Amino acid sequence: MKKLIYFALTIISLGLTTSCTSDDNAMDKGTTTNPDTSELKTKVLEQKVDNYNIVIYSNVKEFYAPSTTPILVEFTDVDNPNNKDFSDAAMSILMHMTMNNGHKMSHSAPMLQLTPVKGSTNKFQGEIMFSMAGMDLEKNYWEITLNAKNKEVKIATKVKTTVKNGIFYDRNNIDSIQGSDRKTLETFNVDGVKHFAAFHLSNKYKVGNNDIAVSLYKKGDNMGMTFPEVDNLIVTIDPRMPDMVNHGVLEGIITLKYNTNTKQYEGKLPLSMTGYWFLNLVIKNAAGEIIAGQPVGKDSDGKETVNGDKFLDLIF
Amino acid sequence: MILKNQYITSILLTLPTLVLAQNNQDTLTNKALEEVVVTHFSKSKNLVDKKPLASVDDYLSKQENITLVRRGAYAWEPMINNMAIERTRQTIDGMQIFHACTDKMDPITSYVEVNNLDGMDITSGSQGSMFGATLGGSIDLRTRKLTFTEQKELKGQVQTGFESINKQKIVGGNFDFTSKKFYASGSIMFRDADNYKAGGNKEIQYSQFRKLNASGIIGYAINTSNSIEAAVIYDKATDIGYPALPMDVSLAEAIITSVKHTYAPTESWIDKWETKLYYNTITHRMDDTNRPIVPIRMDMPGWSDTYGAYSTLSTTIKEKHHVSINANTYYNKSLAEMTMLSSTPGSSNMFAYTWPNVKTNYGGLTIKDHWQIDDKNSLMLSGTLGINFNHVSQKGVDQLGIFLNDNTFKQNKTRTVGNFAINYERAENVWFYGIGVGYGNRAPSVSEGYGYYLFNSGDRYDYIGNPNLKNESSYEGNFFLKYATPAFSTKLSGSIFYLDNYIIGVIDPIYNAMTYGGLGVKKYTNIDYAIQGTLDWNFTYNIDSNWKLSGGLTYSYGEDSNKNTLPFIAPLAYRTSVDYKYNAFRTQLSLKGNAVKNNAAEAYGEVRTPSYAIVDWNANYEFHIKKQSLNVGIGVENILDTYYSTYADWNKIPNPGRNFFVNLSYKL
Ligand SMILES: [Cu+2]
Repeated sequence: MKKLIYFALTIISLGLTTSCTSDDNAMDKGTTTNPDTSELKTKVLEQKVDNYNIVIYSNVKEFYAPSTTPILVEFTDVDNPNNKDFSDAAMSILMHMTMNNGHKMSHSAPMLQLTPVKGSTNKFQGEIMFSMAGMDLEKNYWEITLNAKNKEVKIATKVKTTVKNGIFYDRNNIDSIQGSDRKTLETFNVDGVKHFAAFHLSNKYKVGNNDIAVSLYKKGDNMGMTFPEVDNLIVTIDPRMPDMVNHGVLEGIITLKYNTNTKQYEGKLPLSMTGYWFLNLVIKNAAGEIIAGQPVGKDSDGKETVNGDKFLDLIF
Repeated sequence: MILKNQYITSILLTLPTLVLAQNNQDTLTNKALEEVVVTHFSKSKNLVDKKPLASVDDYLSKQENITLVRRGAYAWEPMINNMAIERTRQTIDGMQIFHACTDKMDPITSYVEVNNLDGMDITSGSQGSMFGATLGGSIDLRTRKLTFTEQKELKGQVQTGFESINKQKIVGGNFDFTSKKFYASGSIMFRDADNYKAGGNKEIQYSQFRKLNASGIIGYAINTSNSIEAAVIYDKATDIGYPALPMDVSLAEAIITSVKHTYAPTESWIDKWETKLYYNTITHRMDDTNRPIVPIRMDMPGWSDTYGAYSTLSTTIKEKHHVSINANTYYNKSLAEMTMLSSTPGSSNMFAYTWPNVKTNYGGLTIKDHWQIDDKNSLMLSGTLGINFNHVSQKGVDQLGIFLNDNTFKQNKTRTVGNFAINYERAENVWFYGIGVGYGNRAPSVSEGYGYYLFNSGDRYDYIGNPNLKNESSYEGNFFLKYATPAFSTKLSGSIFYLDNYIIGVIDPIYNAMTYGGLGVKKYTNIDYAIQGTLDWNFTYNIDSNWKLSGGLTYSYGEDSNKNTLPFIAPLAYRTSVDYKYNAFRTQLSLKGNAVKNNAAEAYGEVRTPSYAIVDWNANYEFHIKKQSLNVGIGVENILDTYYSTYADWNKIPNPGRNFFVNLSYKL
């Protein structure tokens, strides 16, 4: 008899205690989403000039091409860490190549000039559109020229770097998503002139509508030294998940709007879940004719799984 | 057909002879009148059945106004007046418990067992608002009640059973101990079932389940008028197959706890004052690991936690007004996730919240007055007013922002909900009749308001919640007419509901299907209105003290403002049974069926359902062995081994074929 009572008491007390501790369902467990690539925290390059130390951070371990690579340049005074008063930071970039015949040549690439990071006087952020790879610091490499001022002292230096060949998702091989580099720079030709579509760094992606920006540049007339912005084309994006039967979010495509202030094509990108997103890119001229890329097409089963050859991508 | 009929007739004829051979003592009694004064609205159903170890779902399926949507052998979804959980109120002893599955795999009725329960109160329509606003009605499952006894008493029973159709093994037991100051009771029940076989011996894959349920109650009498009681129910089901769905459930677990204070003075204006605090937590793990071929592996766990309290005071004013006042509050947190495991090795998984941490706070007050005007006339008045507050996580706002192209969506939303009902009844000799009107107003459910890509495998659309939905309301009219004499009783009853701002998924063509094989996206929307109604006729004829004949017919109707039939509206349903009893022996042969359903809700993915009819037989005998007794129940369900599916079988999964069962209860 007593045992029965103990049994009942045990059941009840067990129930009450477990019920208080079983709240394992808090949100933001953080295991299901991929690392945030919006923060530039990986140290890629470092160089000393006089008593200044210059560090370049990015969101990749190693630069690759083609890519739109955000960088953060930090200046520090080795002798006086409290001296953080830097200004007028600017960069220019050059790709140096040596031809097979020994002939040397160089060209530049589009970029977003350095601007001060909000709330800081020694950090500057910009983007470099590495248009090709170069893995030899003697013959084929990229050179970033940095200028700045520390109070009245001028700082000038050249930083050399290699840029590897990026490995990108191949739309004909779903397994190639694994280990791929993010496709942030796409190229296309208009009337024989090389154009670039650069996918700018965004804030941390979220499930929902995300602000994104794409810039279009074209190769200028002066041997690849200038890359004027292009404002008269139409940029459309169709976000797809190739490893989930290529589903999208919206029926149809998203058209970005050209912003004359930022000189970028801007819009809201809806992402309905975390994961790998293929952004099928179609560029049209002002008349609405497609000049680069193809809309997502149907396969033999009538499913929209055939992606175009121009794209950008992201993982979050 | 002729052959079949002969089969039935021969069983009918052999039954009495079998019985007569066994029994020849005891006088015969007629208890047919006991149930006569059941009103149209609140019916308390006791769990007495010919099949004592039937599932709670089986019991529910035999109740008036209740139909069940079946997705497998386990956890059927109860509907009242053809309305599902969003439009009804389903509670256990007045406790709010919210299912944790975004696909309705776990109605709260799946978290109890027959040996937890005394009965169930089923109320049709707006009268059912005792524990919160409702449109279609309410089910309150009543757990076992114990009383303090002068003498110490200990009762117990062990139960076991077997069903042939899915090799279901049932073992369980329970005990009740009562004394002057203290009582305790405990129960345990375990079921283990393999796949069942449909008519023609066709095995239905993924229809297995296993369930363990345990409960405990202790009560203590502080003094003659005050007592407290603590109760807990623990339910854990594992390896549950859902043959009608693309996914199964590896775990469905509930812990339901409560503490109750009862004040029942003898000399006071208060008849009874009951206050309860409760907490329950549900974990639901849905996945497709057992399915060999899937386009993409998915993990979809869900959690639902509820804290609540209520206080009910009943009093009698001038011996005519039986008034009860209920103050009720609860807090619920519903969270569910979806992870799609990429088929590409090493690639990142896809993730979203299907219920993005939705919190609901409710507070409400209900007043009921059963006014016995005189011997013949009575009036039932009830009113509920409640505040429903929702809060959704920022992630939820971001997610749903894709589908709402404006900034009207805020994290917080407060709504006023409520009910009002008035029913008049009159008794005149053998005639009883009543009419009533009602109004109900409800908030959208978590799925309707905040759901995110909830795939409905019935119509193959992904459903998206809409936090800006308006409340849905109902205007209800009902009546009943009953004739009752000891020998014969019959009742005709009906309800009609005009549902204003009816909430249902409407195709939004600008969005892309997410789920593999999905047709597109449906967004929950208020459509203009819908009309639903039921008309039920039943009779009981006590031929003599041994034989009883009963039966009935139910007609249901449901159409939206665009003249589309609503989903899950029953076709014409009928049932009839012959009962025979002799002393401790009872047996029943019954026939139930549905007419063809031609008016399928095509706009909502339904297809035509052919008619069917099923014959069941069962018998029950109680052997007395000194003070102990052994109850033996046996039976055959679906005797003709018919292969059939009903309108309420999700994706038309066939029902079980011929099933032999044995239930044994040994009372100590
Ligand atoms: Cu589920």
